[in-house]
Amino acid sequence: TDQEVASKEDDIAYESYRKMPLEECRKLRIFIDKRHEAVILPIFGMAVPIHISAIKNLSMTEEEKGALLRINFATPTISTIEENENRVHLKEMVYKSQSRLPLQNALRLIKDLQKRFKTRQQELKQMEN
Amino acid sequence: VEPPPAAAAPPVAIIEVRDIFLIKRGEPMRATAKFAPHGVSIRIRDTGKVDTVQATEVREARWMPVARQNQLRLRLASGGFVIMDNIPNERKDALRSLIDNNYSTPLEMVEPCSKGWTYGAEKFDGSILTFLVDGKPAFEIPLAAVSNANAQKNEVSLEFHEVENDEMDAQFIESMRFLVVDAAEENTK
Repeated sequence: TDQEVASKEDDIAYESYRKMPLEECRKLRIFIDKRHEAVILPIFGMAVPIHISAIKNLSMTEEEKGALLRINFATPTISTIEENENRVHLKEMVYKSQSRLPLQNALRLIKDLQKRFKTRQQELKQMEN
Repeated sequence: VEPPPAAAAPPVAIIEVRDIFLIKRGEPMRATAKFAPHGVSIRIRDTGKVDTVQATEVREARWMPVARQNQLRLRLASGGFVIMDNIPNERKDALRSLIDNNYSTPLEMVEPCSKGWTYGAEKFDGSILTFLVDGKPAFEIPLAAVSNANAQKNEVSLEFHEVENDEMDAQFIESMRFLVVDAAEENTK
């Protein structure tokens, strides 16, 4: 089953839905939760947490009216796919808004969180060595 | 001896929930819902139009926390869905009891996945595509919101209709891409 396939080493954003920042979720805007190392994405009325480790890179495109924020997620390459793997991976999402500033802020906060997370991972590795 | 007073007719239990969002083709409309033992009526605020659902038509009733408080989703015998968002937690017990006792199906409680993973399985349910992570819904895409879909090799991309919204800072999904891995197929190549 899917549960068995999911690696135990995977980082978890929230142990349960109740632990999500529910007031922030209600706004239906991209929200960065530093403490949980998670980015909450509004997707058709649901507040969808994504652990920062699952985000590969981001980019922003300015348009005449507003901007686009492109989020690329980490996906396995065909050569690293496990034998029993049969899954769908979210690979990319593009958000559009007439207001550039909130998207610019989201991009900056996500990049900051990525840096913090990578630094922490390196520190953990060094301690293990 | 005085005759016992005639038993008063039990009050008809109607649960009114104001300020909900009725979701049609992925777009929210402000509405008020009245739940009665025989069914639901939903009045859309801006148009005054009333949608009704007979209790006997309901094939599945689901309660799930969403961005705006909770969602009550009814699947009808016709195959269509009636989706209502922004229902407060405090109404859960009363609605559950009314639906369990009067409708043709009990209210099912669903918890979305909050683990933060981006891989899972897709499930088509009539007009809704559900992305299941760890066996639970992570998000759901109303197929009516999709303007264009493309499949190439291991990749599926979806583009979405533009949504009208008065809020300048509203954030919409323009497109999504998925990597679809079928290891069994890969290994036989």
